[in-house]
Amino acid sequence: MLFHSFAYIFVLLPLAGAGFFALRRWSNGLLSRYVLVAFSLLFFVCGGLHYLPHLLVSMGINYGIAECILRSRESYGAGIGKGLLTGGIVFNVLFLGVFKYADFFLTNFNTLIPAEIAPLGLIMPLAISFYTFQQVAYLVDCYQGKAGRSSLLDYCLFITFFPQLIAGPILRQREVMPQFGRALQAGVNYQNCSLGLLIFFTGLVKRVVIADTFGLWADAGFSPGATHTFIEAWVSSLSYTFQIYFDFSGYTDMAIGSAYFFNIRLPINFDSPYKALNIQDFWRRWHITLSRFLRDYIYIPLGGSKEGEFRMYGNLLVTFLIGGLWHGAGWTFVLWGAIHGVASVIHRLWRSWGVRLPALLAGFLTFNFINITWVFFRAENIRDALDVIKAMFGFSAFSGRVLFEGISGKQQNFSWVILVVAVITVFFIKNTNSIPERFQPTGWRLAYQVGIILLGLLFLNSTMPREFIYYDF
Amino acid sequence: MTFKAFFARSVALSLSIVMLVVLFNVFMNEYGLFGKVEGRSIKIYGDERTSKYLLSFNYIPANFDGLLIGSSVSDNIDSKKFMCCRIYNASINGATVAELKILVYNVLAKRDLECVIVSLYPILTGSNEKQTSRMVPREYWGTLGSINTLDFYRRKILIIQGRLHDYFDDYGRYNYNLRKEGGDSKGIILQKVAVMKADETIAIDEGAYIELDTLLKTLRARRTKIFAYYHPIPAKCLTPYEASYRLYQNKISALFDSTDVVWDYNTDDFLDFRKDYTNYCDEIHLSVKGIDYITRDINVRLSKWL
Repeated sequence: MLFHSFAYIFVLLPLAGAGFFALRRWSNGLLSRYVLVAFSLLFFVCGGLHYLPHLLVSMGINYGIAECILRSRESYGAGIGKGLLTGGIVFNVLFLGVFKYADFFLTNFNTLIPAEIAPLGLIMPLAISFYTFQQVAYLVDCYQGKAGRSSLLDYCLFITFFPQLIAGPILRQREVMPQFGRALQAGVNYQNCSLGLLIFFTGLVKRVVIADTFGLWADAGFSPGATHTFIEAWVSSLSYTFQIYFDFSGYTDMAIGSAYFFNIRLPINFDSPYKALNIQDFWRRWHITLSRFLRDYIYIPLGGSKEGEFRMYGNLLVTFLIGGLWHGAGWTFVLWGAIHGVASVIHRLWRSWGVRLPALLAGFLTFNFINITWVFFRAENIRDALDVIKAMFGFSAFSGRVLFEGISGKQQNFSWVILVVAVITVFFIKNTNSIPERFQPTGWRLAYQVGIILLGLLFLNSTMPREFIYYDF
Repeated sequence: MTFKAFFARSVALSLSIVMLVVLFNVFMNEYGLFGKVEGRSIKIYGDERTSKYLLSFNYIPANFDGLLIGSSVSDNIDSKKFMCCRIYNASINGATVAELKILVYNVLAKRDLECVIVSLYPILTGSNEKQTSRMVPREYWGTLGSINTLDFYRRKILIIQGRLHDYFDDYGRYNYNLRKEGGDSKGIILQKVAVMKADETIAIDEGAYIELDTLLKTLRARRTKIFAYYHPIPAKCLTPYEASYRLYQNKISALFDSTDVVWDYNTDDFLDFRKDYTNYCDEIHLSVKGIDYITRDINVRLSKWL
């Protein structure tokens, strides 16, 4: 099920909230948790019932391994259970590898050898990248004593809690599970409900009004066989740069807003990433929970920065390559990750030389670097990406009329309005994360909130729903 | 204001406004989607594709016995002039079979049709793609309040105020002659011929061909009479690719059987008509004079046949 659907907004979310709080006094909140897991699974199977077995198998095996790790830790102390942890990680890597990367590797293997191994043709299960990473983090946390034991029900709730199930944020057990107990005790909190409503609909507007508008231009610019003039290439890349931000941050806002109804605060995932002044800063602001995962569960275990400068650069590159590959089974994603890795290494070197750029220039360079690298992320293949980039720096022509002929004049006019709104939102105003601290129940705020809700619903009923870009990962 | 009051007012106010908008649009029923609409006269003010798609759910089946389907070349036919039965002009600018079949099936879901007129022109089977993402069930609910609805009212008001041309009538006719008439059709045709290649070919998409075949078979199974005609192409334009056009005609004509009528306006019998530039408003679309002639001719043939 999509967040931006009437079924979610008017049926699933209210019913889940009502059920969760109505049953909270029964069996010490046990029924409430059952209800939430049931609604979460319902939410999940709306995306395809055939994806459910993968989720259940993955949860069952990971829960079993986590229990064994925790028991061995309890019985024999810290450090015991490394074999179990290794087994758990291998299982998860294989699980993800088979369903997401097998055909990619087989295709490349066939090209290299050359062999004729038939692709497996497996369909990638919904949300597999997210719930696999979340469970890997849980296993490591269990081994390191940073996660406590949970009942099977609580574990299911941790993994399947519907606001974060499909596309994150990637959670840690210790930051979310303790909240459920407190949430049930507190009962319905109207401040949280009001905040949830505003954050959810702000996300909806970002998604259906802004991201979809940029999506029109990005789709035209990155359509197979498209040729570009200088202007078209820049319009295409910038459109995608704005589209992916508003799409994914809008999704995250909807996830965070939904969780607020249950008195649960999910970690933030975006913090005005295009205001970043360098690549490291960008990754502290973009998809924060993924960056955190890559740092804590890949970069640091590899040795981080503690084993010499040369090793640190290698660790950075490996981490970014894995991060790139996580986003998709394709060379464009690998290359995108590699470029970000190299940029991070260059940034570290630059920093070690002690040279500082003026903030405006640093921000400009960082934004343009991000914009150009998104081309690899969006393009169907590396050749298409290079074509766009060549046109961006080719100064071939200054016309932008041919490629975008399919976009009506009305949509083009509307796009200008959206562009202004997007630029202001991205560069000049506070982001959604600051809503809770400045939220007051005033008349003006009420009018604003109702306006946002109506705008979101109007566009939701107007455009073709598209899946979130991050659904694919 | 307490947070409880704030939340309650946010929800109540939002829902109330939503309900008001929905009720208003149901009351206006601009596409005749809800309730009985027999005898109503509904014109198109918004996007042609979306409008005709929406009208095909209820308005067209309730008020018409037949359909005229085709692309822009038949969009300006005044189907009110057909005396045999009430025929709605469901032609759409740039339409493919993939789009037109949606309209026909929508109508067939409600009632049988007496006849369907098919205007045959290569664009119809040139692709099996829809030209828009708007002919989807979601648009049905979009009539309760959406950007399209807002745009519809904006256009309707401008048309009523006379600030926009009123191109459509309640029979689906798109009278683009209002803006195209009076142009230099001869110049446009000669210009078109000058850029045409000698070996110009006409592609028929396999998927579209199968779709057309299926559509015709469905209509026959529902005892709908089929009258098809090949749109008259200016003589000068036809010459460079006549061989290819005849191949196209042969393949398309093979889809029709003896119970159908297939009429060709590109024979020598109509050479004078096709040579006369004043019958056209551009390189392919008929002028007021041309469309009047063709409408009358089809009407006579239909009346004899039905």
